[in-house]
Amino acid sequence: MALSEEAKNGMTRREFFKNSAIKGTTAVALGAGGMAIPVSAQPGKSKQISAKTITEAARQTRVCRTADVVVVGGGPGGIGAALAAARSGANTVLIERYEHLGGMGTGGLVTIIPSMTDIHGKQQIAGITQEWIKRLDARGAADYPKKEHWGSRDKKLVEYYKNRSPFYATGNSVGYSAHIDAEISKCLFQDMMKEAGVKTYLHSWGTEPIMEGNKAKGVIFESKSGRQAVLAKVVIDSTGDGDLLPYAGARFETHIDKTLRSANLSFSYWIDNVNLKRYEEYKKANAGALAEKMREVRKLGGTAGFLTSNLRNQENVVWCFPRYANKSQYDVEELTRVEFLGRKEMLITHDFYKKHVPGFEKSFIVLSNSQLGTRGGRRVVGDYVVTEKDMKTKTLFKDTIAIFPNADGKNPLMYMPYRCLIPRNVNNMLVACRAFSSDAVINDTFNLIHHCVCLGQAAGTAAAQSIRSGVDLRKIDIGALQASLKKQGVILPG
Amino acid sequence: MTNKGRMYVRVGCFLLATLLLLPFPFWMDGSRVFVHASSFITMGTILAGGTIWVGSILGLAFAAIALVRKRWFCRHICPVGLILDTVSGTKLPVRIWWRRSPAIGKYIVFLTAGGALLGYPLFLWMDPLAFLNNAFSVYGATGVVSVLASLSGMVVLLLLTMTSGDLWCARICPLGATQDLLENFGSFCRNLRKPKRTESGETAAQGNAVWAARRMFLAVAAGLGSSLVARKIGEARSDRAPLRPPGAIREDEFTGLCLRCGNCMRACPSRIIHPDKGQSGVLGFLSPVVRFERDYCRNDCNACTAVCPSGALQGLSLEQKNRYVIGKASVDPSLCLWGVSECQACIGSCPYEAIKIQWYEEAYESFPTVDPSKCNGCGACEAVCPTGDLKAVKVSKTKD
Repeated sequence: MALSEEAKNGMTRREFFKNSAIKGTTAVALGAGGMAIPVSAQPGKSKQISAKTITEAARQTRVCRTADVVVVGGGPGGIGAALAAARSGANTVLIERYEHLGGMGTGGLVTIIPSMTDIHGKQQIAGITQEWIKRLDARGAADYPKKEHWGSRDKKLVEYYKNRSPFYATGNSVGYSAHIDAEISKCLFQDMMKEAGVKTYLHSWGTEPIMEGNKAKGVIFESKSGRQAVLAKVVIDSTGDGDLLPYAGARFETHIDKTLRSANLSFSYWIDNVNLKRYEEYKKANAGALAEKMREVRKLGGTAGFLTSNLRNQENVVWCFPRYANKSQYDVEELTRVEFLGRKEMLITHDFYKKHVPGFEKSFIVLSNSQLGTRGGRRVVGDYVVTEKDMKTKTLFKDTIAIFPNADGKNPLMYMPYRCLIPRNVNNMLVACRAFSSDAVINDTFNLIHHCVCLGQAAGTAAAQSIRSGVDLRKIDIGALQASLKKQGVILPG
Repeated sequence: MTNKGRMYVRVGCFLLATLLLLPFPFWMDGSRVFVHASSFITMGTILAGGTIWVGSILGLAFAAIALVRKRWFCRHICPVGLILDTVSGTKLPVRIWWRRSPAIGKYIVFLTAGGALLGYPLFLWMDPLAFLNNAFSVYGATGVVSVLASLSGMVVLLLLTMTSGDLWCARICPLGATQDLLENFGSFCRNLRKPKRTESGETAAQGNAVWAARRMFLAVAAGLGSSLVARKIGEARSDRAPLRPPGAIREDEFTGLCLRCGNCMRACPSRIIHPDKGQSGVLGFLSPVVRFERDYCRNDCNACTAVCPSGALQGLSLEQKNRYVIGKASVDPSLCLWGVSECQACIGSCPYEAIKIQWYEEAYESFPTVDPSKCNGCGACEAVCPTGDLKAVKVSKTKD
């Protein structure tokens, strides 16, 4: 928005940083009733205190670690990036602001990995996503259509899977989409990080890149231990919303059409102890009455409809994903508003269901998301901006690092170029999350959990390769990158 | 012709009928031709302003024969007659209580003819060939109700014959009665040219003729009246009428002209046409209705419009069919999963790109919304909607 406009107007990095810091504090100051408060936790005098802005004092920040690659954000993109980088031999640090890894896939309760197969039932997304599901499977913590049914157009099968989850059968064929367990995934990710030798900091908010000119040199993060720095040869922004971009002097776009899926926040929660059998019987016999009840709950401000968990021993659990339109998904005021609204409406919904919908009599709210379901924020302007036109013309990029299948029969496959991960005019930095360089439509279609894991895996591998061979990120051998991705189980053309 | 020879002809006709009715893909018009072998149907549909086509020649030809040969069709051709003759020989105690009752077939024909003048041939569906045709649509049936519906006509005829002998053929069958009336007419015309016979015979005949004419007049008038009532009822119901297959004529005429022959149900590759269980009232019982629970009306198919023998479904070219409005889809935001699980199934399924997400400023949210000007009610969205029995997107009847 305002920030990006200024960024586009070509300010120097230093000016830019100063301005944005000031703007950032304005919101905080006004939020606290117009009183100016010092933001710095470090000892040191704040100068020029006024009611509107403050200027922070220059200060020294402790470097707690030096690494090859630092990944900011431990969501799907960050997990892909950190694992791939560490496994490719880079000394890797991962910084995550919550108390768990997995981001939307765990804390956001977006415990669905949809459409990994194309419309013909051929698997197109594998790599770390597949590894994730496979390891969950070992504990019975994932549910998905049987492999022999992928691509089937058999009406009975489609109906069966559609009833289980609308993700299992999109359109008229069965596909490979998985419901996964959030809690087991959290445990799994910490095991995977440990095995790969990734140094992980939880409860740590990576706030600013350390820039030298247009070169990223590391990251500053805040935590209970105060403000610390990690120096690294490559910085990977996997924050989802591209939180580092304004401070790196990178250009980004923020406009999302209101009609797009990604224009909505989600406040997800689970209801347990639901007698689903009873509910299904009621639904079958009284579809009209149930529809009327759903209209009623909506009038009250609640949400109708849910997904069933389908996971082993979770026969009584349903997942609710109410959706909230908003002005911005990285505006703290909006995030707070939606968080409060979501909780209020969660109670309205559950109270209504409990009272009026058979099967919910003894149900209870067992869990709500620890992070709001964010779907769209900043999008970096990279060396290449992937657009809707690329999807429609089925552009096969030479530097393709991932194939994303699409349920839309007209545009069944989308190829992702490596260049969409590299912020324009910034060096030593990659963006591996939903903030990848794309227009709003492409971002809306391809910014889900598994897409981000794919982008992360490519970014991590590329970063390690660049460091190993001593070549700039922009000049690495694409053939070698693709070969090592294939070796990791990533599906690529050819 | 000898009895034996006649038997060969009847069996041959029966086999030919079976062949016409079997589901050969290259023989789309088979069942349509078959139904038009009935003079009752052919003349009824023509009178009601339904279909006239090459196949009508068959029914008209048999009608011409009936003018000179008493019930020639019944004795040589009718495959239903052959079936009923076969079972009437079974050893059930056949009661012939009906022997002294009048033949009501004639009145059925008059009522139908009267109704046909107003576009509502009341009892056209009572034709035996339509019953047999419907029985063959059993292999297109989905579910127990459809199976029962398609077999019902033949089962009733068989039961009637097994318990009461040839009650159907002799007294009720409107196709038989049509031939009787034609033969009467034929002999009347022939008698005009013949010299008069005895006085007394003439008076008796004249008396009979007067009575017959009066009854005929009353029956036709009753047909006119009841079809008027039926159409009024149909018109009143047309708001909550069920969805009809593409090409269907106005609801108030449809229930009358439809023969319940099952052709459209059997022709539909998507199996979305079902016999009505009462959605359209008593008058529409067993008439075809469209339901999109599992599949939709394909935009590469116009089969049902091509097989209707009566013109209740007008023949449409593929392009015309795709323009024909079965109904209009609309999304119920309270049931839609777009808000719950980002489901966009209906949007992707629509062949006409009629569904788009739209922003509603007042509600401060977006929802899939159907553009009615692009929607023809093909039901692709409803079929694909994953909400089970609730169906967040539904096609419903629109006022013309």
